[in-house]
Amino acid sequence: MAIDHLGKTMTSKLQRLDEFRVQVPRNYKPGMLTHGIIYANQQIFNNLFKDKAIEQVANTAFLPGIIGPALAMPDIHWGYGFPIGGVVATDIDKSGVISPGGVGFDINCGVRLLKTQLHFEEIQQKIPELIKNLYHTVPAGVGSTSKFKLKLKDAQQVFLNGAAWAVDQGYGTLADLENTEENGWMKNAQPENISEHAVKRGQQQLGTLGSGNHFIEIQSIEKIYDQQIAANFGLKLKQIVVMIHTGSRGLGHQICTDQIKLILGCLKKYNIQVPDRQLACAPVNSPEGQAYLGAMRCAANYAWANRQIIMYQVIQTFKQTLKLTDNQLKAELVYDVAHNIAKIEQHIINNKKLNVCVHRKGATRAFGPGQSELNALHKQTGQPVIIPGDMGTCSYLLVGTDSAMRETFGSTCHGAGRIMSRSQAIRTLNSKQILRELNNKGITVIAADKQIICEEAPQAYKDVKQVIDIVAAAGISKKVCRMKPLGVIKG
Amino acid sequence: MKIQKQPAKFKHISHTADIGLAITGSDYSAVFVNAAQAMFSLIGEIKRPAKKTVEYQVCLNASDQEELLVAWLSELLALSDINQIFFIYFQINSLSKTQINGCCKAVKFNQRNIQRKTEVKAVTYHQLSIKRDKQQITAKVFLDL
Repeated sequence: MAIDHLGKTMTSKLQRLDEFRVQVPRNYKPGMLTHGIIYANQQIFNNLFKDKAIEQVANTAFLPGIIGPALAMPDIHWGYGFPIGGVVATDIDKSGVISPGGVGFDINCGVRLLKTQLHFEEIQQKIPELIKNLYHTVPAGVGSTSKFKLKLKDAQQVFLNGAAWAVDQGYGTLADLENTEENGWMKNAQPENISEHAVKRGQQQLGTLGSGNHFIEIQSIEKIYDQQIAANFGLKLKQIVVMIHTGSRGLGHQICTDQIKLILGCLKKYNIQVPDRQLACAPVNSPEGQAYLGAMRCAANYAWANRQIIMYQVIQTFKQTLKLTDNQLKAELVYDVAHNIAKIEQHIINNKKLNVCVHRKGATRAFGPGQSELNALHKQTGQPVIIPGDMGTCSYLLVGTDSAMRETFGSTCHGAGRIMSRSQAIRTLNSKQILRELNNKGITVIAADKQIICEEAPQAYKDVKQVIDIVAAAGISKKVCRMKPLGVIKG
Repeated sequence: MKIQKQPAKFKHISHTADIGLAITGSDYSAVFVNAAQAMFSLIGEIKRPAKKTVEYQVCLNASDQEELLVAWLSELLALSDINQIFFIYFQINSLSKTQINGCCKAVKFNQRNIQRKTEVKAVTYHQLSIKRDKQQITAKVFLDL
């Protein structure tokens, strides 16, 4: 038995339910309103004792109105407030709360997958040039600012209409919206609930990648697990796809900062006690809860517009670099998912349909077939779920399942999950060696600086294959295909 | 005006995805100054001495001193992002448990003067604390990277 920082007593309270699930019982910590469930095999479970992720799962079980268990996906690691990989649903008709910390600062950080009709062998030699041109086209790195300096009235339209605004401006097609979670914009966004600081940050960063773990990656499909679903999505072996990972930039950071401060001020009013101030929350149906939701939706919409515009820039760069027409490239969006968000959804709990607020903090919606929120194709296949791995291993396309609807409020993992701190990575890894190893695997990488190469090295992440095997074996997602990286831009 | 480099007293606290700061000072004002220095030492590094600085007055309220520390760092971060500036000097004019009035000097970000390092997304309340012992005051704050 591993010994954690809390000591053997706390550790021994954890109960393995099966090969892929561990229960954090309600008596793990006084004040928990429900138990927790962590999706983990033994290896991932053993690593959890290195940080405070288990305690954070227990802490999220304090949230008033929580329904079902506090969940954590296998990419779980220590976050702030919520663990990364955390999923918590609250019953909004029973004073269930919403917590800005359960969404995080990068509101609607998410991933989109763009397919082309190019074949790996056709462009293998062109990858370095494509990556270089993409790096010069899409602003990336710390403090990157945009060519788009949004006027105030345009910024308001982005907050209200998200990717639909971008498509309206010519940066995409209606089909892109049909293949984006929430059709690329959440209704009931309330720009009146966001501060001047937030607006100013939003005005200058649209169409920028940012830094940290955000990236653009050219990939090739290396394995297909479900031929039928892959064919339905128009995907085949060795096809070239592009993955884009970014979020709402400074706008989202500022909205979360502002709203946590406001909500901290009303904890006494609602008689709410939380074990960590980052879990500050208010009833969803309170004025403060509604104000947060209205502001959060502005950032979510901005993030969808951001990924839409970046995708447009990627398509233009491919066409110019490879001298192709639209018809020759045939670039189409497979899907776009959010993995830091709170949603008001209906779920069946104990045979009753309930209105719940689902927080997904480093977790992805994974709705199974037949759900009314999905388009006609995805109603048959289940919702596409895009899971980036690390820049040296692979990424996955999954679909949601009925089991996920029953077990995890239609949720699954969001990535590989970090295993090494950024400071440890910088201290112990060598950027030149990492680049050499990636180059030997045929992967071209451009990053804003050497530090980010170490921070984002494959060694800093869990084995994504293991993470995916857990969600697949547990039945909360189904594998469709696996993609290998060919070229990467790190911000 | 010649700006003297202020030695900051802080240590990094390891965190799986983000970073924590343990900041010390002989009084609360020193802790707030050192915290700002610590955060900006993550964001960038001065390559050349600054010739022209811009001054910002920062006046904020919060419900207690710990939340005031988050408000202070968050405001500096927002001003840095909005105005594309890098803060190099911090002076606290008045500080109570719930109010701060500071004067900060910044230089414009450009590639010749400042080497950008890490994007700090936000200042969190996770495990936030300010504690006084016989010798000094120590604050702990985690930043989202």
